[in-house]
Amino acid sequence: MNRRVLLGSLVVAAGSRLAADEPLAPVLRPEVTAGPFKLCIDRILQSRSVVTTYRADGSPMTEQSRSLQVHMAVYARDPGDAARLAALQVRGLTAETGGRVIDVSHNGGLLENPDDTASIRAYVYIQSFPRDVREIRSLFGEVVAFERSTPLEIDVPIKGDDLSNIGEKEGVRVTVRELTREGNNWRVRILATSSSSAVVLNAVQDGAYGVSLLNAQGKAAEANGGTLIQSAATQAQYLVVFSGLQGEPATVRLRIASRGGVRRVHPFKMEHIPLPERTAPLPAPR
Amino acid sequence: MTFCKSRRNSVWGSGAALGAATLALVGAVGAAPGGGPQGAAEGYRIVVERVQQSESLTLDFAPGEGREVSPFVRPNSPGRRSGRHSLQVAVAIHPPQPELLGHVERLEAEALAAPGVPLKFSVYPTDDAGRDAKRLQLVAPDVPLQLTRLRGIRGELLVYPRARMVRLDLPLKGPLPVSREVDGLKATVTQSKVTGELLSAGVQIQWPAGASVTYPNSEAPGGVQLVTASGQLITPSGTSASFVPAGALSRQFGVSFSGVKEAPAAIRVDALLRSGTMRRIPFTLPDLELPDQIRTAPDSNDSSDDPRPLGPGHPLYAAGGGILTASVSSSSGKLPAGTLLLGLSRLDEGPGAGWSWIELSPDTAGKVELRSLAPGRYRARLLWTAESGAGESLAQPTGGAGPTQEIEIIAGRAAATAPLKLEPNR
Repeated sequence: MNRRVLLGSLVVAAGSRLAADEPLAPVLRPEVTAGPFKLCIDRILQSRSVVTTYRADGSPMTEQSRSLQVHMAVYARDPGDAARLAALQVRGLTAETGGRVIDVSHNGGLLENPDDTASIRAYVYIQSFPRDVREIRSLFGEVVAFERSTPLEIDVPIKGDDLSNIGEKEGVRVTVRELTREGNNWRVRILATSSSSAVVLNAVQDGAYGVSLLNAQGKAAEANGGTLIQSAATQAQYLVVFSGLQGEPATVRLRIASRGGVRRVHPFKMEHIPLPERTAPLPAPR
Repeated sequence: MTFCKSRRNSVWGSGAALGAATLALVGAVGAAPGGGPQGAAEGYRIVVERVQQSESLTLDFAPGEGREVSPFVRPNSPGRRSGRHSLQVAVAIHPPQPELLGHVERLEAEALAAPGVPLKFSVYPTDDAGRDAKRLQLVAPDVPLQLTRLRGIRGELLVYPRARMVRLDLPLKGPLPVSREVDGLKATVTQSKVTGELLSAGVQIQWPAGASVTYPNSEAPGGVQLVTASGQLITPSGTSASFVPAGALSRQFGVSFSGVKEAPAAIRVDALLRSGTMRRIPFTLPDLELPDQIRTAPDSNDSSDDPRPLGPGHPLYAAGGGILTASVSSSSGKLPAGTLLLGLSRLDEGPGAGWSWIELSPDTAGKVELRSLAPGRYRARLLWTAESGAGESLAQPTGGAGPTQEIEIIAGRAAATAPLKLEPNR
């Protein structure tokens, strides 16, 4: 996968604190537009632990820890734009405490969600968040996207043991490196390469990375899983095992996206992201 | 409770039983215990040593499973709040005299989560036992999120009238099986085998009806240890124990000792034997503060997250009540289709009163009118939500509503909130 989340440095921003007596209003989903994309916060999880230990003189000593996890998703305005997305970069996250805006260290990673309409999902984890803060002051970064993305379907004909055929479209070339029968299974290894100006991208979530094995009648075998190694932006190697092919293999088909053009950076900044809060005191028991 | 091995050897020697009718414990006991809030029960002191709150809160904006839709086409809607809050209260039970420590079985406790709603604690022993006190952990895994003070903590201390520590040394030099018995507690070594530096043995422990047997040394299940010829004590490297059904009066242990470099002399069993009808001694504890260093806010489970129209049955409805008007406008002059959420909190119910949010559709001029509002003084806030794709994006503080304002509603009269102004999103 060429998509990735980069987590980086901090930009300090000024801001205001919520009023001390502000009530808990319905909270709308924080979202921000970044070029043709929209970044949304889907979920905020907060864990807190407050430990009060009593000293020998009876006075309490309190220690508190607080961590946050912020789940984000990026959506494309036009579904065709989804494959253009190259990276989501969260560059910084700030909180306002004691009248100062401070950087909050964080890390993060990708979240996978099959059959998703989001272009990418990611999380940011903050292991230690200021204890007296009710919002993330700002979260900022950028969405990086290619200028264009083209979905391709490339067929490579197979003739017996001859694997010399090449499939090629829009500068993306597909060669079959291995086609082996193992009992009822067929093991297929293919290599997709593109010109240096274009990037190949797996764009199919079908469990076989968009690779199909067809017989002479065009009927596909059942994919039993596989692996994808993308050693470079311009090169992807697939190994997929198929079963239940009726007859001999006639075609290896690859559905792939080719992205090219200028990489555009779409900055975003979200401010005043509310955090989950505890609720009001219960009435005093009688 | 755990033992100090070196001291136990030196003090207890090799006697078969210690003391006549009491549990002898080593260590300084008896000083008035310090620590946190405490209560007394017939001379026993129950002291709160530590309170731990663990809290997990979630603010969820994602639509339900299987309804994933791009935000470019779905309207923004309020997030859902949920959470869990659990409590662990560490208490120490200090006996009035050191020798009474072994008499304490456990305690049972509960508090009040809300008026008339008891909060029961599960009670677990801790590894942090000491020779001065019996230490327990009171656990409440699901406490109301709103709870900031634990009130009405009460319970009962369960105490045996008789308790004594029993030690049985079973020599391994003679034929097996070999048994020893004190006060009805009988231990039998049924078999023993030495392979290199590994000794394995079977030990059966039987006790009289009505008695309770526990093994205070947590490192020696069944209280079983090996004594070598030079008096060295070896704890088991492995133990298996038979299941003990209710009412059973015996248990079989399989133990193995590794690193046995000299001749084994005896299997030793240390057990706490308690008997008689347990007494239940009531106690109470002072209220416990549950510190929340983030200011609390109204309950998420009330109507505040569930905007509903004002009508009969609504807590703010009153036939013949007053009228409240509000308006929303855009600085650009264009107000796309959307909904105005009006938040109301009754001031006469105090600062902790909950918020009710009422969903209203503005007219083309951005005005809304709420009729039949119960008379009284309110805090009010406005929050605007746009329909998806309804023109330009307008901003208000993320997740927040307009400023809080105070209004007074008088029956049959109209009042107005300050208008909510929205800025184009940049």
